[in-house]
Amino acid sequence: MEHKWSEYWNMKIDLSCQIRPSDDVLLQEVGGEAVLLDLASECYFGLEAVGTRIWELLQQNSSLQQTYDCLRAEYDVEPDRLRTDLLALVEQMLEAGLVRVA
Amino acid sequence: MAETTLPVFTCVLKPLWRAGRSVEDLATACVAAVLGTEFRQWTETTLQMMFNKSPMTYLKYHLSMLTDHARVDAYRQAIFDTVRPGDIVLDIGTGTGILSLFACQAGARRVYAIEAGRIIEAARAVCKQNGFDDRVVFMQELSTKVELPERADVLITETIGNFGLEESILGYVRDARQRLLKDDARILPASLALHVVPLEAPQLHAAIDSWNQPIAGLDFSSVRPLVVNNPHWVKLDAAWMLGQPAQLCKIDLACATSKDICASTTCTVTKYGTLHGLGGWFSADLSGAGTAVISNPPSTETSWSHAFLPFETPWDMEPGDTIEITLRTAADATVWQWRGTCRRRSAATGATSEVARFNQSSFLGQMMPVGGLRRLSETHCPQLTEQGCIDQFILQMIDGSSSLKEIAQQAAARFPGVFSDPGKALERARLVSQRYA
Repeated sequence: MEHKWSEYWNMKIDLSCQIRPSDDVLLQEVGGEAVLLDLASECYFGLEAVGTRIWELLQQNSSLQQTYDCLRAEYDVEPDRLRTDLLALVEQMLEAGLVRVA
Repeated sequence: MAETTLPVFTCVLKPLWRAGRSVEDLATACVAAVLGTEFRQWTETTLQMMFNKSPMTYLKYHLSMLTDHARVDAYRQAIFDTVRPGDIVLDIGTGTGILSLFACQAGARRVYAIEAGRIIEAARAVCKQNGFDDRVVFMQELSTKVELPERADVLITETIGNFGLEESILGYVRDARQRLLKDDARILPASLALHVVPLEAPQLHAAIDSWNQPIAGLDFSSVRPLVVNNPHWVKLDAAWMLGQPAQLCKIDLACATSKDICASTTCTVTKYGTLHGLGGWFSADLSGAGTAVISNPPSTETSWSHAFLPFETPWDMEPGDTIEITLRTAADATVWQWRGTCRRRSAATGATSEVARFNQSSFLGQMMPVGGLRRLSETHCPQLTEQGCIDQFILQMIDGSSSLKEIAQQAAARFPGVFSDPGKALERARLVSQRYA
């Protein structure tokens, strides 16, 4: 069962959460970056190269931990920094309705 | 060891823009190609571009509709069945004005004929020529932007696209119901239904795959995703159908509240073949009394084409296979998504398994300008270009006391590097004045 972000306003998102891109969201890569269209809200969003890679990993992985592990292997970044930024991006996307907590 | 040093902390989700009819500005910013070349967008901008660039093409398009007897006769009959003597009639997307003239013949007291394109000038002339100019009020504007002095008894509109919705009829009718019509207004067409069918159309798919073939030794295959993710407007042959058509949805225009649809249906395959995509068309009950316009293939009678929604990959199908189809539009039917699943029942076990899955959208067929998207973000702080400064200067000069010649002289003096020829400055002043004054 999936839940909307509004239902989990006070929920703490951590790496154990399962996050899935919404079926309503379409993505097109443009020059290494990505434009997302949320069919539900009819809003467009932009993701830079790293954000685009994160979206790709969210589609493939069942848990945020797996996405985190992949990013750790792919990028030269401090673990704490990666965790903080990954969770911040996911929360932004949850708020925008682009992803859901599975 | 990590291979790259890309800083993760730069990943930021940027709200860009909101889709919809207001996308006109976006279309301009994105070189009017943002929704794909084959995706008809009847914004004022597009209409003006069509008319300005090739009036003969534009007039030929209108002539094809005027000589479509199935269309014209059905609308004429429905208008005579619907419009009563003394009625106030609103005609959205009047084109050459023929439906407004039918309304006059049926006894309308006044007709508000709305048309965004310059074809309205032809409609004015035709109206006068036929002696109805005392009753028809022409307004060159999108209907969503007009105000009427009175609410109408009847709405007539032929903003019906090849697949029913792509001319944004739902948005126009909804807006008219809210602002321009009486509560008990009669709406023509009364309802609109969409139909889909699985298709074996190797020639259509081959045209898409031709982008995979090198041309003069150069690779153009990056264009293919744009082509395969857009609806194609073609004339379908009934022989291409792999199964029976299914009605996807029926929309009652008197009460539809959404500008978009999300509808599902299931088609059953009736013969062996290769599934290349879906065919789509509409049927419209014009008066609610059965006067219909139907564009089902092979419809050589109507000027409407059909939709071909191609699949990324063709699949071999067998009789009895089912195709679950969901069609969704967004942003006032300017974005289309077709997704679904093909299933097959095993003759041996009776178990049903998934054969194929598809999920495509015209959004993926949009030509997004690299680098141009950031300029559309709400966080972007724009700066005027030199051309913008010129227009700003001219706009400031437009105060009701300076002639175009005087404005052009001032502009030429202010921007001598740009306007070495005074005629160019006058041309620019005319353009700015035409648009804003």
